Amino acid sequence: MAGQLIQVATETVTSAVASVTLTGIDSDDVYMVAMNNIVPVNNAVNLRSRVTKSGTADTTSNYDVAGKQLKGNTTFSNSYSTNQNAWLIHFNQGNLTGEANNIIYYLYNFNSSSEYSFITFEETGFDSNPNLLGNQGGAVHTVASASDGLHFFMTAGNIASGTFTLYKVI
Amino acid sequence: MSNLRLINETEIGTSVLSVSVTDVFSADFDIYKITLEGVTSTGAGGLDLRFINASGSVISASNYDRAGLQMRSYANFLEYRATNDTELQLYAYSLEGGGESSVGYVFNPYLSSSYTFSLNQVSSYVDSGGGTSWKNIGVLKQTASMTGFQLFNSSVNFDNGVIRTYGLRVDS
Repeated sequence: MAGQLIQVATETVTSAVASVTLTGIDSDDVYMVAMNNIVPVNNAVNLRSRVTKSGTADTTSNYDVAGKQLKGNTTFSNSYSTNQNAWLIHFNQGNLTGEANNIIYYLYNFNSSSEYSFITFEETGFDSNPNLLGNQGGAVHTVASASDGLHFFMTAGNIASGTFTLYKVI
Repeated sequence: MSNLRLINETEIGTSVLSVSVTDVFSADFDIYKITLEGVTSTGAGGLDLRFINASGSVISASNYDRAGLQMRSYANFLEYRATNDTELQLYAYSLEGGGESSVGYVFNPYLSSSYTFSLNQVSSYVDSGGGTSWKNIGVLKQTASMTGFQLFNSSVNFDNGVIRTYGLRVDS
C-alpha cells in the first residue's frame, strides 16, 4: 500500500544536547522527517540543519533555501539564501511557555551519488516574540553525492527538548 | 507495519454545517496527519476548525492565531492572518466547484504542557476564478489536552467528502 511510513531513526531530547543526528538513508525512496515540540535552551536562536555524509555533517557552503514565512501578526516575508554552511530555514526560536517549533521535511535524492539532495519543508511554531511563525518552501544541498541523513543544531546553545524522527515513505 | 496509523475515517454526509471528529488524539501519538478529500458545497465558503478538549467541549475562546497564503491561478496571491481569533478560520476554503482536498498535520494536541499547532495545504477550485491552493498554519494557545476537532461553516452547508485522521507512531 502506497503512503506507508517506516521509521528509520528517532531521537527524543529530554535533557539538553548540542545536536541531533538522524541517519539511515540507504535507498532511493522519499524520506520524511517529523519534528515536534522543539525548544532551545537559549531564547531567540535559530534551528539549523545540515545533510550528513557517511554520518558526518557536511559543513561546506553549499546550502540554498527559498521559502515564504507565514506570520500570524504581520505581513509575510520571503526567506532565501545561497551558499550557506547550513540550511537557514527556521528562525527566532523561543523557550518560554508555548514557544516551540513543529516541522515536516520531505527528502529527495538523498541516496543518489549523482544528484543534489533536496528537501521541502513546512513549519508551524511560536517564536520568541511570541508570534505564530512558519516557513514553507524548499531547499537544496548543491553537492552531487549521497547523503545518509540530517544533522540539527541551534545557532547558539543547546536543544532543550523535541522529538526528531526519520521515516522512509513507501 | 507502517508507522502511519489510521485512527479514524469520517464521512461528511450531505447538507451539514459542521462535522466533529472526536476521540482521535491521545497519548499514543504527538503528531497527527489529517486529510480532507472531495468536499463540495453549493456556495463559496470556508471550513473553519476548532479543537475539542478532553471534556468534549468545542474550544471557541479567543485563543487561536492563524496565517494563510492563498495562491490563485487567476490572480495575485493573498495573505490572511489573525491573532486571538475564536477558530482557525479558512482551514479549508472554496468549497464550490467540488473536489476540495487538504492534507496537513496537528502537533502536540494531547500534550497538556504544549500549545496545539497545525499546518495544512489545500487544493480547491473557485467557480468565479479557477484553481487555487493554500498554505496555512495555526495555533491554539491553550496548554490543555485536546482529543478531537470540529470543521464547520456558519452559513454554507457542505456535502460529501471524507476526513481521515492518522497518527505518526514513534517507536523508541
